[in-house]
Amino acid sequence: MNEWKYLSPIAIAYFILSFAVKFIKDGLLNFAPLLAVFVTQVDDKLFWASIIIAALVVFLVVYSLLFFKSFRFKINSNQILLERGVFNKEVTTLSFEKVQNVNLSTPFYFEPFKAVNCIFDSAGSSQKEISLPGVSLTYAEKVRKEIMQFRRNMATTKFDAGSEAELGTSHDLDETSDYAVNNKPAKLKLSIKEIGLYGLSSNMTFILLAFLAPFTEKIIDFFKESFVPIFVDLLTQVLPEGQYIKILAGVLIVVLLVLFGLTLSVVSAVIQFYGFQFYDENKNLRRVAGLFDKHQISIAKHRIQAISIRQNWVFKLFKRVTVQFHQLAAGVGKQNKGKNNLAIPTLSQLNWPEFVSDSFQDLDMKGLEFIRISPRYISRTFTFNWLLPLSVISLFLMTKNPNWIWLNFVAVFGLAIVYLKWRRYGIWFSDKYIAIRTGFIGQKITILPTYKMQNISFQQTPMLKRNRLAHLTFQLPYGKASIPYLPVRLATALVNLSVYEIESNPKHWL
Amino acid sequence: MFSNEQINLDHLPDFDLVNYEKLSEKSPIEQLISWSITYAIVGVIFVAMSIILSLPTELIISAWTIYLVLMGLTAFYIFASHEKRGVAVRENDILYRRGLFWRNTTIIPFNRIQHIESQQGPIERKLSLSTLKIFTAGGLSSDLQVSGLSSYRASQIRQLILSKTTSETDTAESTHE
Repeated sequence: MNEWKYLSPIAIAYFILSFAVKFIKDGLLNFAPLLAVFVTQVDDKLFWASIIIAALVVFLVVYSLLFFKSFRFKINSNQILLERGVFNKEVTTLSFEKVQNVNLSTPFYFEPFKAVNCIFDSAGSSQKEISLPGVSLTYAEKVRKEIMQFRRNMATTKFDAGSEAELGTSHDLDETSDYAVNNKPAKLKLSIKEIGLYGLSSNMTFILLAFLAPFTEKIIDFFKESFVPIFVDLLTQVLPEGQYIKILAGVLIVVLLVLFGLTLSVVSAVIQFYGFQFYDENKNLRRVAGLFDKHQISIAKHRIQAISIRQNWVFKLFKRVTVQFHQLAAGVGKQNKGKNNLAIPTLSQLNWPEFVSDSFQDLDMKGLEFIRISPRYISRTFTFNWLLPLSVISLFLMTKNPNWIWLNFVAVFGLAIVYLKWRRYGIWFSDKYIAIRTGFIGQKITILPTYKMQNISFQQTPMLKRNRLAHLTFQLPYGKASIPYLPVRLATALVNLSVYEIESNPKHWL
Repeated sequence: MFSNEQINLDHLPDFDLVNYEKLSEKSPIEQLISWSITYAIVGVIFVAMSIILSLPTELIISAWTIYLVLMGLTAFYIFASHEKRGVAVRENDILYRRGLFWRNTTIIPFNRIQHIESQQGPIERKLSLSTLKIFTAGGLSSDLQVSGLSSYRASQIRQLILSKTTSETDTAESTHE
């Protein structure tokens, strides 16, 4: 076992696809300005586009081949060694004790070859993802068993095989080890319709519009020249001619663009979450999903640092929520953060308490009633964040042109926003859990076990002190949660209770 | 064994009632020196610029006024905020209070500390001051930095935290849920 191994050639397909996806996801956004130049400036579009695409495809294939050739790995008795890279040779070592989970994912084109992608999940360290695509299922199972055995031995030597060992870190692997033969039915399956709904609610359209914004003028010109006449032609065939036809064509194009954006987000949601199945396996949560690449994520329940329940305005209309199970943030950056989290993209708003109770078993969901923050939040935030800056700016502008007085009326919107936000702010706590509610039109509820907190900050300005109010910030292993304008008595009691819980609870937070 | 004793909120140790110990008296001096260096550099650049670009007198006067006002404010802030800064160590946690306008108290339980660093810059070394960095899980935002401790006190706190955290780890590791 102690020599370098290479992947099976089927991995080339995996590399080509994953690099292509990576390029489209990360790279294409950076090329957006070039794309705009291309669309507006280049004459012979079809010719050049095909040349560029062909070059990209050739590069992608060659790069993937070279990457495949450079990829080799070695699995010793206690660590995984990985060597890869075309331009930079990268050597990665991952010791077995750092492995939290061994996940197997099966892209559809791996199935005929009985191959899997063996992913070593090392949450808690800032390691890059380590995976072996295209190894045989039997080999992957063997490696997983070995790692599991190693972890079990480690736990027994550490804690004398006694009662504590059972409670030790070995769990994570114990529970996931049987998933190939696990017959327990899924707790939740999502239909394509539900996944599509999630796609509608995610904000892809706005992202698309946002990154196109700098080129709006050119794009509008481009549309005016190339698309509007076509639409006008089409419309004139069914409608009588007139000036309004051009406007109608413009509106039609905008509607089509928005529809296109929505379709894009629905499609991407379906690709990501197709065949979503959620399993509750006593000590673990597991989900399997994916259209092309069946991806599996599992979390040991005791590693869940917080659960958040989100409902944006679209989901409010559809009476749905998104439930997220947060794990320890590994490394820096958003991508890493998202990867560690297990989420149920869409769930009926009546059902989420059940899913929370499954993980936080000693939490009584019925008592979850939020205490509002002080109404002073409205007056203060409105005055300092809206009224004052707006008056100063409008006064300054009115010296140039008195018409700027209308700017003051924007404050009305400000008041509405501040009021809506105030209505959403809420806190609830028991001796074991804290829940924080925030939001604007939609809402987000974050529920966290108190003992998992890392530190707590209590903030006051002289003004808040006079009004006997305070802000609280809880540092969690995955990020911050804060709540402003709490009555000082409540805030102090909450801090004292939390500190007591953190310091007296013998459970380890991780 | 399951138990569910009632907790009386009023009888819990109150974080608000601890006595904070001020940081070293030399701490404002250290800050004054490092700010003076910054101001000196800005001043030199400004003098050089006004000579090279031969700036109008009014501009030079108003710029120097702003410069002096800012310098005064900085000096005031250094001393005033020093009055408000303090650390307190309890049996199971360390508390750090700071901020002139935004008064912020952070409580870090010993059993959540990942590791701890002490640091000394050149000026701090001369004045025998230390900066203590306390790291908890949760990324960059979760790190607490206490500057202006006397070196002696910093090493005392460090030792205390280390002894507390090492004795914790044995019990803590064995009790994953």
